Amino acid sequence: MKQHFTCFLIDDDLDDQEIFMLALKDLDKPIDCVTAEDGAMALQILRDDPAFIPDYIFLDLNMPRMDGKQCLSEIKKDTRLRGIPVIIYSTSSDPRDIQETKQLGASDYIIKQTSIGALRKILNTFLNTQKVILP
Amino acid sequence: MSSTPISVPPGDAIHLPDGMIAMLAAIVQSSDDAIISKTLTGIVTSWNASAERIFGYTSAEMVGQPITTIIPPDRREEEPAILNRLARGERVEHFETKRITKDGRILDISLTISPVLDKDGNIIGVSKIARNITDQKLVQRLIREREELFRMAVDATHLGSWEYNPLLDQFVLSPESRKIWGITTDAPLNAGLLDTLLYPEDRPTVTKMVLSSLEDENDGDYHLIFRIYRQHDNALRWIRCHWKRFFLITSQTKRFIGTVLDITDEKAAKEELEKTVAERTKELLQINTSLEKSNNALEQFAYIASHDLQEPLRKIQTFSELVLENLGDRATVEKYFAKITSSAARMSRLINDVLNYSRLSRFDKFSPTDLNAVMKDVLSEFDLLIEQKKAVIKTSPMPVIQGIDTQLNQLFRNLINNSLKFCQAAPYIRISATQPAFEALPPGLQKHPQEYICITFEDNGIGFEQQYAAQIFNIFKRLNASGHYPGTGIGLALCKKIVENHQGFITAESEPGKGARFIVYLPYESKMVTQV
Repeated sequence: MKQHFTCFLIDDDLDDQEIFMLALKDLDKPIDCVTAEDGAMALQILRDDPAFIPDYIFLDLNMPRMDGKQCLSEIKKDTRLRGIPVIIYSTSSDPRDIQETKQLGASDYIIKQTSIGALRKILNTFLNTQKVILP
Repeated sequence: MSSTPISVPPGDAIHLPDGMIAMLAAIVQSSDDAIISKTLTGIVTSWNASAERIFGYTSAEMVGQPITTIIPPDRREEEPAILNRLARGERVEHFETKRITKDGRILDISLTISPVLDKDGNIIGVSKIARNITDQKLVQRLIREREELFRMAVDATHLGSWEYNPLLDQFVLSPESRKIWGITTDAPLNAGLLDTLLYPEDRPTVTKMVLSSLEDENDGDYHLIFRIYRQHDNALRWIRCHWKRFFLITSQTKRFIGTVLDITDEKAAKEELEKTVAERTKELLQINTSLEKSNNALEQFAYIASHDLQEPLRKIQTFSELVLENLGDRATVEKYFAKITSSAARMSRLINDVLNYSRLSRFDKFSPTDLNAVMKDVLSEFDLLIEQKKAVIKTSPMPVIQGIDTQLNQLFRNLINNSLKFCQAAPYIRISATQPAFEALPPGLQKHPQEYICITFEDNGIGFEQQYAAQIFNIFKRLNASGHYPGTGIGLALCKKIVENHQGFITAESEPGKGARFIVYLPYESKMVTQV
């Protein structure tokens, strides 16, 4: 099994980016993280660098310009990118959002936590089991 | 009945053949009418079979008795009067009076009385033919009652009646019918004349039914509602015609009788009612639409509240946790405290904006609002920012419109604020008012019979891609990352709500880097004084 993972976090909220990175730093397995501030920027990064194939994409939903759902659709349309698991990372706990992104091809859904400890726990479990288990 | 006095020679020398006498006797006996003869003093001398049947007395009972037996007491004076007239040689024909039967019933009787003369012309007796007209009288009274009832009905309903004889091409109209058709002359009426009064559009229908009623072989019953030009004043009236066709038994001549009623007022009332119902329905639909809209807005708001209001709260919790984890590291603690403070501030801003948004009511008081004053107020609020950013703002004269003063203030403030905020170079902002032609209005506004004023806010800022033009008016929708341009994403949603509260329309045009143009259409009455 691969020992060093790379993930791609797409989130316009710089505080949330920082919290996410802090959580990654203390995980059981080392993981690199590339960030983008919205869907359009993310697609540009992915398309500009064919060598960049992250192991996971963590995708926020509510973003300016291109939002998470549009970005997800674009990723799933791209033959080179569609195999990358996309995990939605959003404040929204609306069942409609969960349902809709699942239909668009999202692998999983993490609701943004109110504690960094909780986020760390979810990410550890996810990297071990490939499953999101929300507390 | 013969009008020749009966002449009988004195004595019993009647010079008639036996056969003739027998025949006369048979006629008298078999007549349906009572035939009675009496002396000048009123003593009955003969009493035929019908007299027995009608009055109930037998011949034996009456012959030799005074005729007053069958005359009611209050009619007794008639007898001398009749005798006087007879004495003068007059005949009394069809004298209608009353007689009483043996069993006390009062009968209506028509009398024809002739004197009986001797050969010298002296009156020697009286011959009386009495016909029982009780049933006839009853029928006449019934007919009179029915006619009276009919006239009352006609008076009460203004129903006209008419007859038409197709052989003579002659209409006979009742006074009410004449009134309905507006015919004031007494000239004879024919079909051709009435045809000229028909409303042209209805003529084919009327002609068709009239022809079919003329041609039908059976007795028919016809109804038709159509329009006419009333003759005397040329007014267009709706009338309802109902007619029946009869065949006379004696000939094959058809005859029509019918009624006519002016239903213009009734129709107008009905149309008025239908119009009212339609209006109410429309109002209800509008209320329904606005309810749906407000439901959608609520739903959107609930969604947003779960997201945007939670976000700063979540950060406060997370950064507090991080402060606890790093209590020994003063720099980190300070950094996270700053984030906690800014999240709290953002939360507070959001709550204020949401409150502002929810307070915007379309039921606030509308009053004439001078947009020049509104603009002056708003620009003075931005004095400092305009100076700092070295912004140039050009304005054109604004009209006075019916509006909610505070909301229009907010509208101008938000749009000008956006132009000042979303820019990289010194802002150049142009605000102008024009009155667009009807064809230039957005399709949604063309449905309303209403003038509009078009206010354009134009800047040289960062702009946005045209594809986002509709989204930007959604609550909490932000096109730019919060790190670069602060804001809660409520400003334009507020603008949209304000414009909609005024039954207006707002739209936006832009290209990245080429500035943005916000166009606001607001209802406007050009007759209101424009203050320049």
